[in-house]
Amino acid sequence: METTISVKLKIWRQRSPKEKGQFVEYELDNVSTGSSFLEMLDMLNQKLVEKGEEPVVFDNDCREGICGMCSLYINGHPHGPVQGITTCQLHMRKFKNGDVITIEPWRSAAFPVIRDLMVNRNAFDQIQQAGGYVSFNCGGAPDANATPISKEVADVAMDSATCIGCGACVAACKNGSAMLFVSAKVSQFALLPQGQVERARRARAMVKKMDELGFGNCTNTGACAAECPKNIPLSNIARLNREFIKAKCAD
Amino acid sequence: MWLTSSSVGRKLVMAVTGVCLVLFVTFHVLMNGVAIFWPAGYNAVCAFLGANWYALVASIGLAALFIIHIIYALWLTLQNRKARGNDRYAVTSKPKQVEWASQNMLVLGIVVLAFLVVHMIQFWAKMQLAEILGQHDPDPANGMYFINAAFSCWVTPVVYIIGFIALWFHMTHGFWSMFQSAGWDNDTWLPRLKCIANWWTSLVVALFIAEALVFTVNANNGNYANCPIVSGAEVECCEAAEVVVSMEGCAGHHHEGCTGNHEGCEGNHEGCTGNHEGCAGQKAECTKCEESTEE
Repeated sequence: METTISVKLKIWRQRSPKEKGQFVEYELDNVSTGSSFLEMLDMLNQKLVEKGEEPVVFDNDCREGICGMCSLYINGHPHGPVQGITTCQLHMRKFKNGDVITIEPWRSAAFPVIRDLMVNRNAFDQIQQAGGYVSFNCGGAPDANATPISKEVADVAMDSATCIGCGACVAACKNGSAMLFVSAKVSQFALLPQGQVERARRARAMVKKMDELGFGNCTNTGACAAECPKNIPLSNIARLNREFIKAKCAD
Repeated sequence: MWLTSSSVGRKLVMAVTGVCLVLFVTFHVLMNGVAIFWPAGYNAVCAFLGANWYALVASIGLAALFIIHIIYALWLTLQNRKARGNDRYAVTSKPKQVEWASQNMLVLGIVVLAFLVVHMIQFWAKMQLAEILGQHDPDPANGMYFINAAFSCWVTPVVYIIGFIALWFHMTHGFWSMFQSAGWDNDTWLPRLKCIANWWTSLVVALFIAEALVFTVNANNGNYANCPIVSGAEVECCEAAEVVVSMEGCAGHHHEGCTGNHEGCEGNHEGCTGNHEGCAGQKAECTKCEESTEE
């Protein structure tokens, strides 16, 4: 049943990477419980613009949970209190009338704040560029099923490939570690025949880049997997460990 | 070197040293169990693990494991705090899948380390270290004597139990975590490993606590003080002769300097060339015994 609620928002405002930020409180009435969380923020921004104030800056794009652009640390959880969804898939019906909602940016040394709730996640692109790809000679499209892959392997590889690179794992991790992201990217190729050629090189290069960029060391707390909007399992991290250890032992 | 320069390598070092320490702790708890059921046997173990070359090599190896584990823990924590950045979240909450222990491993480790320092002062410094330094009074191999000395003070069991509880939390996370860090990727076995971790750790810690309680009760009831095996160096030759039925394997270390045969010692000190002066082979003629009976 659709109703409207009033919420109190505590939002992190920071004008630039170097300036000091602080929380600013906003009251928002007449929020439809059928609206999404980002629509609620749109409403707030509309109000701010009308008042002649600076709108709150936040990342968003597809608004259907597949692009990995939205972020937001809502009430102590990346992508909000509901597990297995992104912020754009979060609805206001998950909140009660009069709730105080604290919204913070991802906080990690490798993800510096650009402005307000928007952070620079370029570090993930750099890790991907270091080895998160498959090289092959172009030619005619190969026949379907020319390379047989078992259902089990295809499923695990596909599950790993659902990682949208939003950075919730880094945001949730008390160590600011990017292991869940890197492990998903390494796993999706390591499991499939197409990824075998660069398998060892990929694990080495991506872990090296990850360490270089100042992400922390994984201590197996599992907060990343618990908060991941795509439910990437923790076993991927064990697989990355194995891939890397094997690659280094082979050197 | 990838074991120091990469995050995965550093975690592997934590895992490998962790496995060794889990095995050591398990060995230790079983060794202590001997002290409950067979004090003389425990002293034999203490003598075996004294300042012999093999025990010294093992001790140095063990110390190295501890030091590497601790240095890496501090190093990893510093790096992780730096990676987290200067700004902290105003609101944090722990997902239910996350163990409390996993987020507090350093603090738990520090509590275990503090306990370890107390434990080393109470036992290792007086046993292996004393033997290395050539101190023989009280006998460094008389483990039961030091158990009595330590546990007759009420603070000891309290400190020990705090240490054991911290160890429980530390080990329940560390146990399955080491397999994860070493690269065992398996969704079926991960929950099983967590279950094994809980059982293994709970059994080890329960045994440790039981042992601490038994030692405390025995030490405070004077059970150990009355036992000649425990009172060790202070025991009079004839007293020992009356109480101890079998000195087998004891090599006469309660009767310092005694090279004789005390087997089934029923007052016969024949062949004794040690500090049983005045004892001409018969208990009745032993001047020390006369003195003690006169008293």
